[in-house]
Amino acid sequence: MDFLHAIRLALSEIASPTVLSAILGGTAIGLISGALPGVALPGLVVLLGVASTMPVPVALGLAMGMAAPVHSSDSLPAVMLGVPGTVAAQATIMDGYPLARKGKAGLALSAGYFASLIGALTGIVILVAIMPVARVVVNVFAAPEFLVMGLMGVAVVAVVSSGAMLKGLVAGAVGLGIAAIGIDPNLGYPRFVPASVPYLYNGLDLVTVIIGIFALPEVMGLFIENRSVARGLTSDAVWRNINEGRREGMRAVLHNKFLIFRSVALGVIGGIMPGLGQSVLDWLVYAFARSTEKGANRTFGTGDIRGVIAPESANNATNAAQLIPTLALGIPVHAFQALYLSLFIIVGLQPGPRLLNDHLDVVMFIAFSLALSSVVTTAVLLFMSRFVARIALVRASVLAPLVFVFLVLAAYTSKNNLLDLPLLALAGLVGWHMKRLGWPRPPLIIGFVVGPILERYLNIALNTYTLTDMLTRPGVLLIVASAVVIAVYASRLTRASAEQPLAATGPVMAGQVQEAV
Amino acid sequence: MRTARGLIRLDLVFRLLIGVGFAYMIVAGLAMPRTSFGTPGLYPIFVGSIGLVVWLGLHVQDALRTIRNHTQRGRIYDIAYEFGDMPPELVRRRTLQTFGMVGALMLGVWLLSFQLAVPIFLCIALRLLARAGWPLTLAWMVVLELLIVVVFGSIAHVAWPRSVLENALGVSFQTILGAPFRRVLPF
Repeated sequence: MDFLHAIRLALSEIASPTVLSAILGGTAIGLISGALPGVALPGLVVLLGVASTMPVPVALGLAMGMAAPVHSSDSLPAVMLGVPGTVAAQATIMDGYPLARKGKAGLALSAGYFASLIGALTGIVILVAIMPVARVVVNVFAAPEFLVMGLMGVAVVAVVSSGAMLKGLVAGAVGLGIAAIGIDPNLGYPRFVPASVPYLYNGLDLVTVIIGIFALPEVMGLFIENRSVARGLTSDAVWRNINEGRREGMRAVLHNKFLIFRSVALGVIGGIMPGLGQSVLDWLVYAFARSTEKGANRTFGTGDIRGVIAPESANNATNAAQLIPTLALGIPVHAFQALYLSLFIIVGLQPGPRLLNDHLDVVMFIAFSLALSSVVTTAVLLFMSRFVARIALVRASVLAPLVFVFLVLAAYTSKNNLLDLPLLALAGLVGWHMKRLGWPRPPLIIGFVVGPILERYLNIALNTYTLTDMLTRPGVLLIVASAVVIAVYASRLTRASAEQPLAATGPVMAGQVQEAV
Repeated sequence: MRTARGLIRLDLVFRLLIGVGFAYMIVAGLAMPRTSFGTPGLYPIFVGSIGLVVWLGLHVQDALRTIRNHTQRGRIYDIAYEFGDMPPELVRRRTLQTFGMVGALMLGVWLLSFQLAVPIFLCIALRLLARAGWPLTLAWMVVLELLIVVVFGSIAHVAWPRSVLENALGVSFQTILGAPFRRVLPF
């Protein structure tokens, strides 16, 4: 498909009222879920459950609408309450929360929103620009390259688990293993399925497993902690804090354009690299800004606006950049991208070479939806922060039962099978214990999502090539070498970011990277 | 202390299950039929072997760390809530309460149907457990009921499961509750 033709098709699709409403609706949901700590991921998972009942552009519009604002509105609880809305907002707390305590929340928030917008749009431009190049590269790849690429993707994500590297690799292998349950796609032979349980013939439901492993434990954590996110603050105090310093924030962003440029560049590079999650990048960019900005060693951590601008611009650029390997290769580099990959599969799209060759308009649609949502997000956050801030006042004990209902509904509606509910409970139990016992869940989810793709390429590769042919292909060698370099580099960066203090100024230590037991 | 010991015991069971799972994948994969087009056991053997190697590696590493008295276990790549400042007893009670809530909701769906179980669950969870006001509780009950009956049931045509109660009474709550909306909706 011609590049310009794909752009035209994507724009005409976005212009349709239904799709436009879906993008705006998704943006509204993303704004709300980003402002509520622990709800962003379950929110996206709920969408996976109902996506199969929607037309493809509507489902994608909703998902991309949701994706863009999460990393902008997550700065709201980070600045106002010292609680990161998502893991990507941890470093924002370091200077955002002290600024709010000094009565300069408006400055921190508006600077954060503008920096987010610039970061998001830059990331999207790079996503669009890189696709024609990516198309050429992936067309050179054959089954062995995709097989190795998939394995390396899971491995690198696991390897950056730092001291818990082997735990990450075991979790990734468990994910690959549970993907084997069900009828073998090549020969139709039922694997690990008792004859009396035909429910398992189609394998474990992707949506239900993701909800159980990931979303349910998050909401359970929120409920068990049972803290009002905004304890100690009244809604009037929240409103007063936000209203002040809007223009000052915009000026601060324009004044620090080179800092934004450097942070965005780091965010994009880190986003493309498998395994470097948002939380790692967030601290990395913060540390980088602290070591390169004038006088930052003394002022960072005490309420320096540059400490808000750097991570906020980077995490939004990362969000778009992480879609590059997901769309071009079908290999998710992060748990969020595994969810997007699941969504693409659920609505009938297969990311990878076929998507780039036959459906480039879909890729452009995704990029433009993200751009539109980012612009709308900034406008809404700047002018409606008062309302969004009130959402952060909702008590966890009120919020959690509602989210439980949505999760159960999402699990059921994904396949309309009541047996998905016991599976949800079982997956929830596993996810909860993984979390409590210090087992990383993202490699498991990525392994589960990538499993069927890997199996297909494993069969093709072994039927077409000998092992020696496969392992001596230049593409395979290049991927293995790149993966080793990335793993070593990413591990070092992860260790460097681990040395940063974790949200020490916030009243609640929520959403932070957990120490392994 | 009791909690920490319990977690260690649970971790051992979890590790054992994983190891047995990988070994079973290899054994079951080898027992699967071989055809001229290949074998369905290839993928399980492939994954089981990789899994077993890294699983063994993990335990060798743990053993070496114990021998060397190395306490630093590194960080996992995940997010989590910290309950360090909460009494373990409270965490355990709330954990059980949460599992109980989710289980009760699922049981309610099986026995009563989504249409009845969800509003009842919300009423109990919001009004009794969260001590929310009646207006908020009722508002959410109505919103969720409309979502189930109108959006999912009448517009998206989700096939709700027949509950035990519906089977016993010989009725469908979706048909009864969705009737007024079907007359209004154009599709």
